[in-house]
Amino acid sequence: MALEITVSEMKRVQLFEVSGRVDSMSANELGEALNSVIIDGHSEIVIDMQGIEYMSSAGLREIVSALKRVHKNNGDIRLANPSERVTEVLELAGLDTIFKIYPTQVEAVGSF
Amino acid sequence: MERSLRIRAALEAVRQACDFVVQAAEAASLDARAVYHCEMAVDEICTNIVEHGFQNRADGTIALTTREANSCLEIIIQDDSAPF
Repeated sequence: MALEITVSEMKRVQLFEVSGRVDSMSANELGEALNSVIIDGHSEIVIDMQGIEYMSSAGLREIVSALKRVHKNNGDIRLANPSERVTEVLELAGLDTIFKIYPTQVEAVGSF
Repeated sequence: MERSLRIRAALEAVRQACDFVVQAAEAASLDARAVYHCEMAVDEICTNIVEHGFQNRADGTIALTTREANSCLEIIIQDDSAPF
């Protein structure tokens, strides 16, 4: 499944709903979408990962890069709903200690 | 059973390598988690070959071979980039 990204502006948070495959060919697209909202001045972001069927290190690099940028503005990127496979990848990379991860979108959005 | 694939050493072709190894892993009756692990390993290795071995020049090739033996799946990846 090709990568699909839907961005919604909520009261305090920019919500990214990402589905499909995040790999070396598509990760750049996610990075650009994140960068676009950050440049617009948004620093509170939730990425709902429920629809992500596969994520490689290329995808991890993009979200870490975006996290570093929002941290400079005292913001954060929080993750919601990762599948078992994506959770395993996050844990393998040690990113479960860097990102706050929530089981539901509501909890992730409400955490801000 | 042995399967082989040659791809161009380009990021656009890495997906082919992933699909190839998923097919081989499923044919070898690996469970879903193991199939995913094989796919990820091949994805990362091939991406590294393209980006670091060939420095994204896209003028090389990557050869993949899978073999089933003793309830295991062996995956062999060879490339003709300069040695590290």
